[in-house]
Amino acid sequence: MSEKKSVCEPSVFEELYSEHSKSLYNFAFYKSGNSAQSEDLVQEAFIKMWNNCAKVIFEKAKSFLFTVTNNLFLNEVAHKKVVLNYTLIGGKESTNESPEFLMEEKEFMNTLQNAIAALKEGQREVFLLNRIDKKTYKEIAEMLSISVKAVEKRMHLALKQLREKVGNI
Amino acid sequence: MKNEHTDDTFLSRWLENDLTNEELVSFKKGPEYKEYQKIIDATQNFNAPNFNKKEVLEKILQKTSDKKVRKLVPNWMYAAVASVVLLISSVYYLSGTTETFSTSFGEQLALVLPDGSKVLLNSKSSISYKKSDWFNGTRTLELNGEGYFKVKKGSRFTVNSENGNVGVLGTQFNVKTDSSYFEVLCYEGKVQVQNSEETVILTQGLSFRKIENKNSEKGVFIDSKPNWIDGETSFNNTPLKYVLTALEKQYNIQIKSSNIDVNTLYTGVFTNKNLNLALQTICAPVSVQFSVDKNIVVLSKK
Repeated sequence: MSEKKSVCEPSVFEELYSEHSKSLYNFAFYKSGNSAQSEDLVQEAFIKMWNNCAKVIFEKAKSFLFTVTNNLFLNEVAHKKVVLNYTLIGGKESTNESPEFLMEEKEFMNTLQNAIAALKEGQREVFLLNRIDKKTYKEIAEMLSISVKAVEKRMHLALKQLREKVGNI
Repeated sequence: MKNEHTDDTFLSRWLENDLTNEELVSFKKGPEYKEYQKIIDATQNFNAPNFNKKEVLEKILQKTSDKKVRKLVPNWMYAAVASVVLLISSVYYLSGTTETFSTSFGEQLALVLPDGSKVLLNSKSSISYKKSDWFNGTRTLELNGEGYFKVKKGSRFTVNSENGNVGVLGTQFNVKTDSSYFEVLCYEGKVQVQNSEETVILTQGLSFRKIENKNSEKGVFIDSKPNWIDGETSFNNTPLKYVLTALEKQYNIQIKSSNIDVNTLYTGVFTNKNLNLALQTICAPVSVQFSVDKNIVVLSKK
């Protein structure tokens, strides 16, 4: 007798959490730019899934989680101004460069991060999901429930915008 | 060849290496190419902030645990509500949907089955049954772990587990099943226990137990209901390894033991409410010492 995996089963729920929580967190972070808020969104999304566990098919759980997170975020934005506080960790480990070069690099990175924060939400999330999470355009299209063409357009526009802000540094 | 200024997916195609040779060469010659490349190189090394997976999961589990679990002594008023829900859903969803209930570490869950029979599930246990079966009068369910059943008189009621089946006509009994541990205690009425080797009938106060591939044992007891319902877990001549497993399930810990004999027989009781006290009662009679570090317990010979 083959049993369908039930989301109401704690071990299944924890399996879904293990698999999707980090990627859901990144998704929320790319939208909001706020680490604490993103953690809260992840919590709420999983709690919502638990409360509706009987209605969520295991195979559709990922889609449910991303859609819920998107909706929760939209609700929050509608009700209050979202504080964008981007700190994307990273940067090259450069040891042999001159101090001037390092200063310039730092300035460039800061300007770039600000430019990313200033992107329209739709462009920003596509750009970061592709560049940082290495998601394909197809995967991003599924996560956001838009067409691949729409993803490509947003990607193009995001890059164009960024270049306009940091291109001359 | 599309003009970069009117082609709204040019850059995204560039990133996917989806430009024609002509387009790529022309792009690289232009002044903006270096700038775009610099942005792409910079974002190579970005990472999202760290996400504390474990901490957030704990918060989630905390917030969801109040909804599906009833702790300690079952309040049969809640069970009445549960039975209404079960009856309604068994009418609407007839096409073979399976209902599953499970408990996590240290939890107990009181349920009412579609016929009004009651089950109390102990920690880390689960039952499942097909709603359509019950609608047709076939009272069958699968059990993993431990459950205390109060069965209403009616058609044959069967509990299936990995190690054997229990069939009853209307009675109260406790079934405990683990990977190689199978035990049934009959508290009232008459129970038929069946496994791959034998079939046994138990009446009130009689028990049946089979551990690994030893001979099955029949026993006598005087309690009127299992101790675990009231917050204590008791054992009678049970190999220590099963006592330790029960402890793990109750307290959500991992027990590591190196030089102790886990086949030593243990008779005694531990509390389900205080880990330290529980460990003391188990370890003292068998000359074992313990140390606790977060949720890992290490046992060693004194």
